[in-house]
Amino acid sequence: MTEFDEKEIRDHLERAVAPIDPIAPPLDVLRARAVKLRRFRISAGGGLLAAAAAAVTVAVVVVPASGSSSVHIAAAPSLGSLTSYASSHGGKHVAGPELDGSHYVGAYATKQAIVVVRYASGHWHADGKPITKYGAGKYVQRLGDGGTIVPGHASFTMRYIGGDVSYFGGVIYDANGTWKPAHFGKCADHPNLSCAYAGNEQPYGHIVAGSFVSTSNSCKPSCAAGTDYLITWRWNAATKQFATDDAHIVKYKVYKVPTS
Amino acid sequence: MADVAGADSLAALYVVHYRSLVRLAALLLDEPAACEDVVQEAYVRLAASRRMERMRDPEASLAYLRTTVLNLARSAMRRRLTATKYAPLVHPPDRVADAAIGAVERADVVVALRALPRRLREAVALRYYADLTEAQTADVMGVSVGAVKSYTSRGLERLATELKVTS
Repeated sequence: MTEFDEKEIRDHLERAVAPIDPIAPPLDVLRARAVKLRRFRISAGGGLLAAAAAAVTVAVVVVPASGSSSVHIAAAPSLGSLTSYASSHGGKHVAGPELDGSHYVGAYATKQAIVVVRYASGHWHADGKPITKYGAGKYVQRLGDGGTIVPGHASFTMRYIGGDVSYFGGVIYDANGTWKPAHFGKCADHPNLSCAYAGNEQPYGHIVAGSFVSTSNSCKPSCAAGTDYLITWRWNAATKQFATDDAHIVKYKVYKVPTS
Repeated sequence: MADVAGADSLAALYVVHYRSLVRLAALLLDEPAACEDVVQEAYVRLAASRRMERMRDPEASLAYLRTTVLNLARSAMRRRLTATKYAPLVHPPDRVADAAIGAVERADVVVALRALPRRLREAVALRYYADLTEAQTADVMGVSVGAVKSYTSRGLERLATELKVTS
């Protein structure tokens, strides 16, 4: 028996895999895959039921039946078809497919725009609504469960480039066929403005663990040496705006959402 | 409410355990590039199964994730072995340079671990990297506690031999 300490092997293994520091994709991407998988399982279950029904029908044919019925199961659009559509139009899939009322919708992002697409007659097609022109692909995220504005309607966070080096975050959402910017707390007095910008540096809104957050820097003694605070914004369905009670917000700025 | 609670639990599991599960997969697979795929698929299956809504105990969800990672790793290994068996005899393309993957693949303990039979490798990784108890390891692997004791003992012995030879 060779001498080998258990602690030693733990240390060996820990050190060996320590260089692996993966960047987790947005959880919403995996949720979209989960939705697709669930639909597949449901349709596969429907297929089994249909097969069972067919077997029963055969039996009924042997012993003549008075009638028969069939159930049409509408196929949901697949994530693959949406991704493929996005790719063929120079973009990358960012959201969907998800049910928006009676239609399935999705979205893809190019370097200049977010394009919302709808599924009809077995095909994806752009829905023609105005899209923000600063929605650089990798900064676009679908607003997840933690920040949903209107259940069943598409909504996206994105950053806008403004000022000198600052990045401004905001949210647009599909309000019954029109893209609207979401309001944030004190910005409610400014129609058509959105202001996830809530601090001095690195303020752009983004999704962390399903919540919509922005960063606020105390800038004391300087912005470079200041403390970053993660500000969580929550959608208030009653007032129809995002709000936060975080005391670390030192100021608000407003910024016009550049829809085109 | 169940949906919201489930979503929060999934997000918490994702933030806290994603990295350690990828690292665990790196010890189970001999293709580090596939580790993230395996772990992401495990989360997708957990989210699709609606288990999050039924499982009050986060530990139960984590155990499900570990088991799924193990099963997917086994499947990936089987597919890779089959592909290797029937692959044409040509030189493989150069792997894209990746310092992290390269460092892991060169680690003596990883090389030694990959030389172990599958069950020994799994038992050692789950017991001594994932830090599971013998009972938890047995649950994840779907074997008895006695078998886990045997696998870990033999696995450690062979690892020690390999590592001493290497050093």
